[in-house]
Amino acid sequence: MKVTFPHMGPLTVAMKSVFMRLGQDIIVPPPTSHRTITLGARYAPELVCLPFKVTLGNMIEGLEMGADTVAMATSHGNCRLGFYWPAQEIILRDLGFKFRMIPVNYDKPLEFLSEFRHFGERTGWTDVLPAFLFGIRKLLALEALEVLAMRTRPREKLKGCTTRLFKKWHAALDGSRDSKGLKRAIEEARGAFLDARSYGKEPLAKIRIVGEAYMMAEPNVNFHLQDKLGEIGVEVERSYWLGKRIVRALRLDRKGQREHERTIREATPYMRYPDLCTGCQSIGETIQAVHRDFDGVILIMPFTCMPEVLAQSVMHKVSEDYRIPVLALPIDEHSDEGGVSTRLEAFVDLLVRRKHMKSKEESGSRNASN
Amino acid sequence: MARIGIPRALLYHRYHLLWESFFRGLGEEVVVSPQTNRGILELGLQYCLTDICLPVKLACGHAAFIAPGVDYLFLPRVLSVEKGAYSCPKIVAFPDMIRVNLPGAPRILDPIIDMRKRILSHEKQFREVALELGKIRFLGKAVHEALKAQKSWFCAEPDAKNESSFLFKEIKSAGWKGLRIALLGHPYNLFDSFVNFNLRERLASLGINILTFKHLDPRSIERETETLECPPYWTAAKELLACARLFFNSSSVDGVIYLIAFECGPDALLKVLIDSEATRHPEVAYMSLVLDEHTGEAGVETRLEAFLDAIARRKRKLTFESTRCGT
Repeated sequence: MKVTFPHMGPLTVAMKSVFMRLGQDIIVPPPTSHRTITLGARYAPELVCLPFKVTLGNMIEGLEMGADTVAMATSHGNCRLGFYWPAQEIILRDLGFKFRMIPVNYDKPLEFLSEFRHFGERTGWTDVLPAFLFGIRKLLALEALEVLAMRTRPREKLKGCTTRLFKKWHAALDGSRDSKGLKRAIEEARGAFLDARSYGKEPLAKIRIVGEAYMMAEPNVNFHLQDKLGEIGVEVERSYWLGKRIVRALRLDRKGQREHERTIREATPYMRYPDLCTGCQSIGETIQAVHRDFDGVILIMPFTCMPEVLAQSVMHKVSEDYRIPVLALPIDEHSDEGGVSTRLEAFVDLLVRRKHMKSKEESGSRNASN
Repeated sequence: MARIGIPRALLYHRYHLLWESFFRGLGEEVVVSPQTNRGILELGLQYCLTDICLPVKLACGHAAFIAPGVDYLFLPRVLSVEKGAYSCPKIVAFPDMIRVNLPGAPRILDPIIDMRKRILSHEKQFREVALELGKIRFLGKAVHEALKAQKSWFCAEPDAKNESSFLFKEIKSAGWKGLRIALLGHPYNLFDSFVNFNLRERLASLGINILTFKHLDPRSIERETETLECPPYWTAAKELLACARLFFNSSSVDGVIYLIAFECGPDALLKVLIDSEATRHPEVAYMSLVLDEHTGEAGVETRLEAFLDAIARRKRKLTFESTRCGT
């Protein structure tokens, strides 16, 4: 049995380590490229959202490399994600691949863990649990590294040194085999990133990215949004972290759960039923961004995404009520990097100008009161 | 007597008998928006996001059209009508969209119908509405009448009128007459003549027998949903898939047309499943039509004509072969 799975940002590396611990042969598909997206878009139905197409492309590339089992995430939410795998299975079988599809449901922790018992030579709980916990630790460490990079990039001393550091420590985390190694690596990385910051530099603006999880997490699909904004000189914060989401689903993160509930509560004046309209979360996160002094919000989503389209349709009201600029960024396989960059640059220009005007107004009013 | 406005869109096409007779039972005046027309679509486009699906755009248009003349808008929030399955998120969030996007909207009656965990009695579902209208004493009777009316939904096929502007009406190819075509799709695509370009009327005027899921026995649909390997978790999609399987398995239809509204989320994935079902039954002709506000009437006509010709030709060939075998 050779397992392949679609990419989703840092998940690839974490999954690799889980499967390695279980003694399972895996085939990591090549990183998402233009070919992946083209392949996926060719065989997927036209109206489906981009993550479906990209993951389908990943699966095709993985199966081409000789895999015979596909592990695919699913959920019981109301998004189309939960229904990806039956459709993808049919499409891949029509293409002539022979394989087994294993849906992995991340909403139900116990079910999720027991799915992993299908894999590998060692399938007892005592083997699965530590391997899985290590995978989560690795995922959390990788995401912590991303946060460090996002903080450092707008303040870096030398242009490009953040990317270099990120690559270096990413490889180190990828290679580490135990929790101790992970901890040491992330501590050292933290020091290195702090050294790379220049303290005179202030970021132009602070932007929060909200929206659809996959588009946020997969840099090859969102045109390296985080890095791009960082290079313009913007400090970015992302609202979704897969590691945190899994820990929350396992009910290990009480604080995160409370925070999530608060987010949903904030969104209720605009939209109700968070478990059925997941778009609620993006709205709540936008409102929180105002409380936490962000200058702007980017709502990233794949074209035709069901929950985020709903969020987008009430977002203009939120933006008006709370006076925060929101850029909705729907992306599909026809989007090109130039278009996205132009929009981002224009948005950042707007934020900087707005900030400038605000500070001028404030100082003006202060002078007047004096 | 309050005027209750109901937009002729989305779930209205499924539950219109229930809702209308309920409000009549309460002694209120029911105002239903007129059949969809160009003006309503334009109105919908004005108040709606461009990225959303066509049925929701139309629903916005309908709501905006009747909003000025009514005291209440009835937009029930149907979260789920059965255990373990839900409605499309766009249907769930529709009242919110109207409240936020429609300036000067009248009061919205949005009773919550949620049967994910436990089955609620119909009286409980409508209690909120009756309380809001101050007509609680009529509740029991109204609900009873409404349920009785809704029971006849499955046999009350709205008759397709036999008049149409179909270009090829005069031709009436002999091969086309008497064909049995099944129409698949959400009720709001099937029964809205504006969205599907009078498809039902067109087919009827050519002497073709139309079958929709109203012609199927509701119990057989239920039985079929239980045999699905991976049932979709949207009620409407689940029903649709079961109907598709029933139509393909029954030998009584010559062709199946699947109507999809552009940007419909569940349909996009369901199409894969229904397509694969169709390839397993090559004896039934199958076509899917994607409809949006820019679809040209002529395009639909051409495809329909070609589809009918293909079926007629196949039938001719079959009868020819069987007669040759006979001699």
